[in-house]
Amino acid sequence: MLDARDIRVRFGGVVAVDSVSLSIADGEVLGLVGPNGSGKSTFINAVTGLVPATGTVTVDGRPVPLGRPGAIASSGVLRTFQTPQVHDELTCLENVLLGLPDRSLRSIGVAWLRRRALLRAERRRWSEALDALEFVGLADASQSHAGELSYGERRRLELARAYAGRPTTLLLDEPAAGLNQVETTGLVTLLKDWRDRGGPALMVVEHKIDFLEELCHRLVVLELGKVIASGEPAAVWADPKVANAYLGAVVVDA
Amino acid sequence: MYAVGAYVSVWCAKHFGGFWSGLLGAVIVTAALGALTKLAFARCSEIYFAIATMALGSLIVILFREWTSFTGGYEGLGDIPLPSIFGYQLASGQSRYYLGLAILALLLLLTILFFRSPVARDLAFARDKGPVAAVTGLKPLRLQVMGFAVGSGIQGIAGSLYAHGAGFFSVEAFNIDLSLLVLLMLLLGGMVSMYGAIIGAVILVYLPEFLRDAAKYAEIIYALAILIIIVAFPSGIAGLRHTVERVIRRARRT
Repeated sequence: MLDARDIRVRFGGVVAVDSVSLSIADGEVLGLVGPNGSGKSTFINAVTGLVPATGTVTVDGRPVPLGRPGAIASSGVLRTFQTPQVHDELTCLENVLLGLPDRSLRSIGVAWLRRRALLRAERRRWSEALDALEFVGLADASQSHAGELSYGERRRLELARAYAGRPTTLLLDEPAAGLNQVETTGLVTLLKDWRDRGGPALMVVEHKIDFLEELCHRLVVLELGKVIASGEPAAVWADPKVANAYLGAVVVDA
Repeated sequence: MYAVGAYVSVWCAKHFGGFWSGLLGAVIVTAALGALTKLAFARCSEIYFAIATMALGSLIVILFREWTSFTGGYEGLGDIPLPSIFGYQLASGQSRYYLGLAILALLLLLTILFFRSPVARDLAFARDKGPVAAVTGLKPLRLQVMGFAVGSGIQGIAGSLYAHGAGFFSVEAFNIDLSLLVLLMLLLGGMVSMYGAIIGAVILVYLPEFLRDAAKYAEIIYALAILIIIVAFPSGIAGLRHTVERVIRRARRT
């Protein structure tokens, strides 16, 4: 279980995330929503150490240092990015291999002196990585370079890398951004399937509302860096404060 | 690092047991120095890091020039122990050439093993997408420090071989021309593959033999060569296949 308390991020004079506290239970799917600039992505960046932040983060009760990129990865919390971050010059299989949690036999000494053990470990890792590619439907492209993939495929490749990392919690930053309707539906099916097979806790930052309704147990709404509503999806959408945050000016004018 | 390798190697060879202890000392010292350099400039991005290392290189050469008790400065160092194998001294230039060739073959083998191992892929990811690699669970800094130590160690070997192969050298040997020559070797040969470095080195070592009459224009020729390569063949001779393919593809499209 991931627990973040009083997370604060300042960019110069702007408080981008203002004392946000959130926790995700094991297996829970949490949607993090809010208008542009409300601090959703910054919150994820803060938790994964990519921007300087204050507050406390614990995973299963163990504290995680903030401000150190990826410090939280060793606790099983992984993430994806708004624009898919894969290595274009590596093959799909290699991209997934990067994410495997098994870091044994990956040093340079092993590369030089323990070839046999290394090849055995690599074979095991290949099959694991292939499973992950299979999961996102990219098994046929395992030997293609990631740079040759379409945008939607790169998204799925990034997801495969996260899947291969066997996270306990996965933070998805706008996983459906730039996908068409068919691809979005495919992604929802994929994530639901993973969720129902006892997948990781998911925190999904997303704008597409049908995407969230299909997937999420709970929604948290941010506006200007603060939590303004949280709860069951239906209740949250009914909350006037939420309508105000999204359509503020319109409501006032009416 | 080349200069450091040369001087450290001579010192160790004179104070301990000859050439092999010199070589070992050179590798250890240059690898450690390479690792420290990467650590010290860890926060510099690519181009600034390149500038920082060049500045450090110039500083080291100045240090060696002034530290005459260790290096002999412009007077140079003589009486350098010649390499010996199993008690046989490699007195002839030819025998030392074969020693260099054997060490090159060994290093090539180690490089091939490196490229066909998971470290190479982890390192590529850490180099090109540091923060992403960190949140994927890799340790980009540790990987890069390791990579830099290995690369510097290889330069140290080169310096050691130069010193013991020449038998005499002074700080004059490590001027900026040498850095440029090595850079040109890499550019000409191509950095996309390790064979590029060898192709570039062979061409640039033999080319002056054929162009003896043009020696006074050498600098102009080198400068033009660098410009032409950067503009027309950014991936060098080893990458010619890619370049040609790209040109053909572009021609077809129009």
